[in-house]
Amino acid sequence: MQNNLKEYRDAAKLTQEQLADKVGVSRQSIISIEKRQYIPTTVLALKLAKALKLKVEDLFVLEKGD
Amino acid sequence: MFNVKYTLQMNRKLFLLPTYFKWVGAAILVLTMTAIIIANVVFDFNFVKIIWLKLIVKTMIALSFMLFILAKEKVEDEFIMQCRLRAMAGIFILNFFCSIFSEFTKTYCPTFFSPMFGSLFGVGIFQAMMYITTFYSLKKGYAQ
Repeated sequence: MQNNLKEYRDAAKLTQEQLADKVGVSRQSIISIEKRQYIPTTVLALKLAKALKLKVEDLFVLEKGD
Repeated sequence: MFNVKYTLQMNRKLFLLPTYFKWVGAAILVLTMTAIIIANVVFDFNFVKIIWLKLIVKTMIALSFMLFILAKEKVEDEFIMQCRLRAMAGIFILNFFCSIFSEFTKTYCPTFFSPMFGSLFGVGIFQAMMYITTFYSLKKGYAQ
């Protein structure tokens, strides 16, 4: 799964720490998602999208192999 | 925006102690190891000779690892839970290899590996150390 979290977070001028606080997760989780090492659950994906005022499909995009 | 209900739901799956127990565990381990070293180096006293003292030292070491492992992280979220479960699954699989390995070592070189694999205590401590290494490697993103 591809994600544009870093791009949208930068656009929203939020640090990893600020976004983590907003959605109630650790900074490590945000780092892992941005590095595409971890695919979040639907709940967290929805929270992230809400925090960045986006749709989930803007943040997370299915790849061919998914 | 922190969802308490969701976090409680996750924590119900695994009993965890408050975060400060991590420091309690670390302190017990450091104090025990310091006491062993001081007793050996300064007083030339080997605790292994006294059975009840040996038992206490072993219990303290096991307890410190247990507290360290079972304490919550500062922020307990789904990523941390996944790291924890992955580390536990990894140790479960490693356990099978250790059991096979211990059978070979028991047969062919009983003295070399006996401190680690010869007793259930040794295996437990080995697994605890491997769990801590795996968990923090996963958490920091070194072993994804």
